[in-house]
Amino acid sequence: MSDEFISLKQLADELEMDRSHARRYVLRLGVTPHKRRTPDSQNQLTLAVDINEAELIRTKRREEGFIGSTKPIAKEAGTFYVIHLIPELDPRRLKLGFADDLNSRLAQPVLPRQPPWSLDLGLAKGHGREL
Amino acid sequence: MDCLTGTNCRLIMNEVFECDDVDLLLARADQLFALLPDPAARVSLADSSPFNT
Repeated sequence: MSDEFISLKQLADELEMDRSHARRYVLRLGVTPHKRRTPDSQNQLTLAVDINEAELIRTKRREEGFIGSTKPIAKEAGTFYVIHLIPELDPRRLKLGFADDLNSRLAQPVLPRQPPWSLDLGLAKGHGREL
Repeated sequence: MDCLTGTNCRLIMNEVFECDDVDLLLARADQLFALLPDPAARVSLADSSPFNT
């Protein structure tokens, strides 16, 4: 493991990804972000990857056609989902998203640091509704 | 996502919205996705297409 780190926020900006999407993407690649103080985090602890992991992530994104996109993207099918986040608190609150693998997406937390009691995956599958 | 949340929904953050009528949103989604082709389907070629060679 390298001693040099880049924050997930900075990497997400570089790859033009939403930060939470970048975090899920990194985890799916088998990379576990480390908590580090980085120059761009103003000395606050933030999730970061080392430079070797960052290069692996960049390479993967490039291979998938997300960077310098002259290459056609092979995987273009997936599932658009709607999740009822906290129906007991506010039934109007929904999480919308797209996943190329719905089962793996639903196995992950919907929001960072979400307490388990606040999650109702109902709308995507249960409550009789499925898009 | 913008198509579905353009009416009766307000952004909270990221991809989380507050939507007044969930059934309306799902109905709109049904309409939208009904327009989209099967990703595996390819449009057939016209006889005059140069791709026929």
